[in-house]
Amino acid sequence: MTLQEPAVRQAADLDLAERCRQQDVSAYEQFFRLYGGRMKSVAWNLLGNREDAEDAVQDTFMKVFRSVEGFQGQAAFSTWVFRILVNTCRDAIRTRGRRAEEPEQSKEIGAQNNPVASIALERALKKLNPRQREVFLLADSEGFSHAEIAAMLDIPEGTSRGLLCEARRALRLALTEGK
Amino acid sequence: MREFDCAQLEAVLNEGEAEDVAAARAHAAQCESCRREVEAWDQVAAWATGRRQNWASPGLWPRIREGMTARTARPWAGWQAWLAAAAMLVLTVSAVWLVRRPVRQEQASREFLTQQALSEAEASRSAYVHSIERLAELAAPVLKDDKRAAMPVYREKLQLLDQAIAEVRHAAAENPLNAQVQAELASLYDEKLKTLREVLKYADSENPGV
Repeated sequence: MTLQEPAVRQAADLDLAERCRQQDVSAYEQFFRLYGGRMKSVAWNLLGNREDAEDAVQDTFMKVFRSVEGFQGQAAFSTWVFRILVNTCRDAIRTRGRRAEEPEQSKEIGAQNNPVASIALERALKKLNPRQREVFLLADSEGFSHAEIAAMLDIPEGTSRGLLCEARRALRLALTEGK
Repeated sequence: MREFDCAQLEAVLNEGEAEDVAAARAHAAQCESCRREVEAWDQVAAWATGRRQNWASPGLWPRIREGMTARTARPWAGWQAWLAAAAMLVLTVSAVWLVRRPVRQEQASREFLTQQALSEAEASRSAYVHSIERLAELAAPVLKDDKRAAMPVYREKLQLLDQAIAEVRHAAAENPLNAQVQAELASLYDEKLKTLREVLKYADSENPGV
């Protein structure tokens, strides 16, 4: 599922933005019901643990509540909110440091894949540069389109495609080298 | 089945159409190096998808709502506080300006009126002095006439008055707002005028036909 949808969904997105602009808390609750789960997942992927992820989601909602007047409508409202979330996660990484929960990650991911391969991929993921890592997680883990990623990370779509190719190649290389 | 270029495998898997991807996968079934590449590709894709998280957070929305409600209930928080402080500053500056401005205007107005009154007084005095000097010119021939017994006395008196007038005028020029000096000067001029009238009156009484 991507955030950019046909006209009806875009109209709903604009309506939600307008209600949020009017500080309508029920509009924020609706947004939370629609996107809260995905926001937590994105934050978890960027921060590595649930507590920090929930804090980032909460911070993001408060930032949106305070600065919704600044939403200009260049991108979908939901994309704008995810952009704030990504920036909030970056800030959290800078200020608190990355506190990944290694046992939690290994257990969950290992259940679906070869555990040895999962560990190799986790290590390779950490070796990616931050932009490659963000693009890979947003595209291949969270399913965002390049247009959405470009809007969230403030980069051209072509850059997003290039970073994703580089990240995938590095991860495949980590697997083949491990064999 | 059409030929597939192994060098194109990565590009097709990254951005290819579904039909091209299917062709690549069919080719990989026959090509050992492409098969390993596709296997690694699928493993990475599955691992990435497995990173998507979903867990219940029953307390998260209530925390967010509480934060929003608290913020709404505290109108003096954040930018609103700055806005209010700025408004207070503008009001205070405006009030001070309004209070001080009339005083300054009043002072300026008073200074202007004082200056105007002094100018008018100076003009009146100049006209007054000019008329006295005209009178002195008329009285001069009479005063020089030593045949008239009283004239030396009047000449001496007028000389003393002129000296006194010159000194007091000097003092008045240095301090134009000193009312006492101004009054003294006016008194001296009055005395000179009175003396000159007496001189002329005296001459008229001696020559009634003139």
